[in-house]
Amino acid sequence: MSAVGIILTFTFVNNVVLGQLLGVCPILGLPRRPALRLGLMPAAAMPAAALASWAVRRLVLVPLGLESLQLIALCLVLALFVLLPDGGKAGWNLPVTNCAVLGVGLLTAGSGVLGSLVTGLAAGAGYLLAAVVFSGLRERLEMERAPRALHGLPLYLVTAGLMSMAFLAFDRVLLARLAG
Amino acid sequence: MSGDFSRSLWRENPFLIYLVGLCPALAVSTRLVNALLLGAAMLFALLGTGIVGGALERFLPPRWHLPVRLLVASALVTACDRFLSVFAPALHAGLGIYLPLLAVNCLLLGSAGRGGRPFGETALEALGMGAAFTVGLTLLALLRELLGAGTITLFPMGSFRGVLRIPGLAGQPARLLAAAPGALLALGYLSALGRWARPGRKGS
Repeated sequence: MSAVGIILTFTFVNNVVLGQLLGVCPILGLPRRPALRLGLMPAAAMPAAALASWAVRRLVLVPLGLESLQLIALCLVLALFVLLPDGGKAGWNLPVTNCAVLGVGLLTAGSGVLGSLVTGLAAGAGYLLAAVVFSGLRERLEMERAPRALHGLPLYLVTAGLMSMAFLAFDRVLLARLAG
Repeated sequence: MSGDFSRSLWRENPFLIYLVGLCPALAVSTRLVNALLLGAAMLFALLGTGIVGGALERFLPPRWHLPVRLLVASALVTACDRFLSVFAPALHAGLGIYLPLLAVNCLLLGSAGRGGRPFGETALEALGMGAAFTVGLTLLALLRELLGAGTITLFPMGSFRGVLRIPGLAGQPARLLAAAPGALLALGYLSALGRWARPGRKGS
């Protein structure tokens, strides 16, 4: 797949959150205000995870014939990252234990270094897009009256479902035409 | 203690009421058999992580708790993944990357830092959470598969190929429910139903 194709696929057509349903819980639980800042950390971790996944596979797993241990190797990388000194900001590196981050690392298995990097960047952009749009929707939802049982998380889920339905409109053919 | 178990199974089902541990579960809830397999893997991983992680935590400083849980969980999930890929390759292919993703599930990692408790308590809590996850996921998958495809997929056994077609539904399924938005919508309404039906705590 070409770079443009990868970007369109992972950001719009098959958005990490809304199409592949990765990282739904962190998005649902996002506080209202700093959506951009909180979404940025996992989004930045995605290309890093894709690159780390490529490097670990290429330099360690394939030479040793241990491809089946990919998950453990990736989790080891994430665990090391969580152990980094926190520089006074407690918990800043926790968002990397996010299914979307690990998912991107797993999805890029088999791509080259450039393919992995582009996939990671596109997935990160898709995550950020979903996070920002959803937090905006959530802010509006706070002002709406809803049945008691739906109040809170169920309502957020239904809203995310409607958003995901809107993303169904990004169909590969349409985007191919837009991109010329 | 058994009260704790039934409470986490229905009244405070972490999956349906608090909506934690969703990520790998939502995407594969298109077929009933996926839900059962993922539930079983989750139960195994929860038990193992709870017991092994809890035991290791006694000897480690707090900042090591989460990374250690993560590694224990990833080892157990890899074991499940390998086991399934050898004994049921077709079912394994149906789960894709979503089975390995259990390793970073919030249900598994959420118990980090709660080690050092009695063995029985840890095991019972893990069993309760695993069972609750399986029940919630099974309900969701049943709803999505019945309405979205008009079938019920179980394990293939002998001459039975594992797929039941429901007459009347299989002809004109609501395909939206089988697609990605269907997972979010169905779980949203299922969870609202769970809250509405919860005895005792109607308000709040």
